Amino acid sequence: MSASSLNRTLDGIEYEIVVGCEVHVQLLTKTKAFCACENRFGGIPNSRVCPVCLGLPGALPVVSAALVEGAIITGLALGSRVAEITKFDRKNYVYPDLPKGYQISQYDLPICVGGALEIAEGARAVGITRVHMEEDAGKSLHLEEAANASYVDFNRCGTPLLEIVSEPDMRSPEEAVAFVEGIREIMRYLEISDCNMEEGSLRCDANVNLRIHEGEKLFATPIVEIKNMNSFRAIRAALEFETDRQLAEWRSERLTLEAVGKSTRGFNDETGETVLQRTKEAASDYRYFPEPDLRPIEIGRELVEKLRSRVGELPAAKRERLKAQYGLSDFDAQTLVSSKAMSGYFEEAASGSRDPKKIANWILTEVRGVLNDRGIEITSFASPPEHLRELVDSIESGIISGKIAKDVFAEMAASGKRPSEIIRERGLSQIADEGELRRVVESVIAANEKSVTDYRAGRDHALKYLMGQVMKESRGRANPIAAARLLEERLNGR
Amino acid sequence: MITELSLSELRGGLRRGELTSAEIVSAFRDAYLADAKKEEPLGAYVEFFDDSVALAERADEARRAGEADAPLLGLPIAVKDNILVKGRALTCASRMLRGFTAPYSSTVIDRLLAAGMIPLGRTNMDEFAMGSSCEYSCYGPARNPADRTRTPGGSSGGSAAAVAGGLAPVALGSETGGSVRLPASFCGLYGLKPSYGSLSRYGLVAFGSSLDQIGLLGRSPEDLAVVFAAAAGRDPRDETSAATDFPAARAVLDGAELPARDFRGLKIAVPREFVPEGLEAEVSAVFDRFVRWARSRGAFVEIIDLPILEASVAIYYILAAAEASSNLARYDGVRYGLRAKEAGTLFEMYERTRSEGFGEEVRRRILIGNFVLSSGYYDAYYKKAQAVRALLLREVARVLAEHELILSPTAPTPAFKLGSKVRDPLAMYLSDVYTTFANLALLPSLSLPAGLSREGLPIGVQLTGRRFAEETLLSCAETWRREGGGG
Amino acid sequence: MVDDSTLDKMLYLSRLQVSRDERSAIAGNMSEIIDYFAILSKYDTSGVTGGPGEAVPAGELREDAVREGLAQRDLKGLSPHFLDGYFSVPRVLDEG
Repeated sequence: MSASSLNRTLDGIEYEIVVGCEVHVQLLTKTKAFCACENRFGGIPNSRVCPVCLGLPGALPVVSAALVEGAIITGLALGSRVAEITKFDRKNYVYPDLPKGYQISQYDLPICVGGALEIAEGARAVGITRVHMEEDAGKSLHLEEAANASYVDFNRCGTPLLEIVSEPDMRSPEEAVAFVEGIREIMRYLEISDCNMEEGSLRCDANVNLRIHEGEKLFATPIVEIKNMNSFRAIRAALEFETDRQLAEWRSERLTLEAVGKSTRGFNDETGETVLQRTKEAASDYRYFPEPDLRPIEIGRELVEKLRSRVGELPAAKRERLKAQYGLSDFDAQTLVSSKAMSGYFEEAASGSRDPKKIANWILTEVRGVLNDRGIEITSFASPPEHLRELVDSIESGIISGKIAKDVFAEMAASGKRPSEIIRERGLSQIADEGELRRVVESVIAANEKSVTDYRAGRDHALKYLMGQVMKESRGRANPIAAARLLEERLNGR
Repeated sequence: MITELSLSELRGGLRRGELTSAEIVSAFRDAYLADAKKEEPLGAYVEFFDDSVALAERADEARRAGEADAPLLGLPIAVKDNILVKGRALTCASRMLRGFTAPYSSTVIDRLLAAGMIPLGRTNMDEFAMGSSCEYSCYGPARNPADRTRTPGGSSGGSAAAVAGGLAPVALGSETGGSVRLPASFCGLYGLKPSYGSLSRYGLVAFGSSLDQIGLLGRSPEDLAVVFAAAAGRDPRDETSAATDFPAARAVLDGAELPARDFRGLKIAVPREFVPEGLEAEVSAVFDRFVRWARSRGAFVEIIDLPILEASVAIYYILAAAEASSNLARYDGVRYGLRAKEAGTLFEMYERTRSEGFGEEVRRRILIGNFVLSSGYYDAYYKKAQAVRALLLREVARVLAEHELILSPTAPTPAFKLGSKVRDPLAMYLSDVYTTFANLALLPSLSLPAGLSREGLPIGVQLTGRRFAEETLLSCAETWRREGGGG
Repeated sequence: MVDDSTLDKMLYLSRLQVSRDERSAIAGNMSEIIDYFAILSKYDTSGVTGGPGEAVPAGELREDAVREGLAQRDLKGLSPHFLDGYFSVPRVLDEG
């Protein structure tokens, strides 16, 4: 796609928007990045702290293997090169929720470099600059009634984070949103992070400026880093606001990146505006140096290959394949691919099934209903995929009706029993045997002479009534199509 | 007298039932109390633990009940005030940490307690271990038992004064650039700085993390060997700790004698840079005598050129200050320690807390550390120092491939007068001119008492070995003790 | 060498303050020490980097298993400013 097609024009100014993102993702590890405290959201303040994450004198960090593995998996999913040697560095700055006065992060040897993410919006690839590991800070709380004080909770302190830095490859607010959504989809699918923006397990900063085209000349407006965008809506709104603001600023002041450099602005959710954050210049002198308390990490190729096999097929590719292979709709494919476990369940159930689409329907309605009711994941669902396949096939082959199948499913989900076992125990299999069905039809006709007369007098509703009696007599087990055919044949004297 | 016995002798007395732990600990407590009444007390302890005698009585009960399987049961040890002991105060001799109680124990203390040892008290030091004279302490200086107008050396000055002054049989100190060996030299003790990684740093308050090690001070190599063996070993809480085994030291802990090393054929290098023309005559005389003795026992002592050593103090002060500026950023008044009163804003709270809490030398090193790390200076100082350190590691390794030991004086002078260098930081830094290279090169290094000046001031000699060759150093020192140094 | 603006920046990064009369003495000490560091320029380090130290194989890192941390009681013992489960500080504004 050529650059010029991305250009926009407003009041005679031809420009393009240039956006790069820094996405922070909290990992779903059991423990914190550098200590064995539990890694979990919320809870009683300061209830998950230890000498290490509280920065007590003498305490030392110890790297979690799960953090390193999560970073490698993420890098592999984004097509990054995984470093053979990686190391941690200290990023020094002062803040009350940063107990050690430095954040353990990565500077010049990040764990993953390069890569790309395909985004649906504009059908483009956004380049990945790097993925690095670091620790989260605590949280400061400000109360209305205590105007002069803040309160610090260190539970979040030390939570493992990945920072995913993109190239400045996005050309619209929509693409930026699509990029962050794409990151979220992959992280959720791989069960690396729950990427919940409200709880802060996914956070995004964006760098944005404009390229102004004036004939042959090209100008760049000063780059602005936007912070504090806490929802997808906020990302879009902040970038739209900032684009307009930079355009207006260009019109009135013609400030360029070369002349002004970078600045930081915070997004205000209530006003929908970005506001300049003034910081002392020295505050951004982070004095990075190698973290002497931790050894560099050697990443063997065996580990990378082992983790690569865990990554497997990625969501975008899997969606397309599910649609092509099983004839699923966009929506069904999208929903099934929301988690790796869910799509895995589907594929196991669908393999060898007569009707994969029906399997998808069952998963998306009945199975998801049970999961939601019980608040459990598919991995803890009582029925293995082959049971669901057996159930759906039982409907297809006419052993049970769709209605009875729902009863069977309820018991499967509760007990984990095989559907065939439930059908047999409860005698639920459909009566398809003609001889048996004829006996039922005969007995219904014998017991309902009036309805038979009505039918023969041309009153069609009588047929419906008689059919209902057949189903009742058979306790719902009569194969309805075969029974209706036999009933009509009998009534019409054939 | 109990307070003059070595740890090994005390251990023998306990085993044979000639002594009780309560007698031992009481003797050291009485000596401490008597010293405290003197006009110029040693200032070795910042706290002598009130309950140490009670703990000793409990150890005696255990021994009587036949539960004496802990190898160092009932034996006392003094602990530098920068090593955490759960439930005890810890200050690093800084106003910053007054009132702080350790909520956990360092790994080394955990292991020594498990071995049955009894902590006697917390020893004086230069604030946050920054200093070479024990004068930068918020409690005032410790004094040298050989001459109370002089420094015991630093930063582990209190630990050295306690052992040399008969107030403890052994003590834990800590090293970043010579803080155990310099006091050992000044006070006439054996002082071991283990290889980087031999002892866990977990629970040692960090100064320069890539250099710090807990060290040991005692009256005999054997005393150092037993404590070292009880404390060493890989610690999952310290990634930089090593899984090295020390079978000879462990055997001493189990009751064997520390073997003396046969010097025949032992190849020793003496760097010309560490025995300069202008070396103080008395230090030079003692050192030359030690060299003659070593040669007489069959060692090959060779003078070598190692010009990179002249860079070691500069590398050391750049890297240690850089790491310290970051390590000490946590003392911000938010979670523990001092918080300045009447600070209206957060920024004021930080500035006032840190300016009131840290003494002059600590503040100076934080400023220098931030200088060498800050943009514009990073490459010229921090990065350059890292590169020269790498060069030094390589050069020293080359020497140690040919020789088993590097030998030098421990310090350029005997103990200097209190007050003579506090106003001249650079002169103070140069006290470490022979010691820092071992920390930079991650090597074990031991100072042994080699002789006395005419005024009766101790003078030490330093043996530096290959990484994790602590046992070689201890055995060589044992040879010296038996044949010459024991006096 | 250490001029006024450099000293100000270092004081800010260090979160330290000094009185007006101390400034020149501190700047003087710092300059003297930093001048001494110039000795390092004697050594040719082209092609030499500090480089990462001995690496640990990723497979030997800490296992992801939770261990109990500090109790609230311990935290109360740390600071009189630990109140109602939080560490209180003067209001956090944008300043660091």
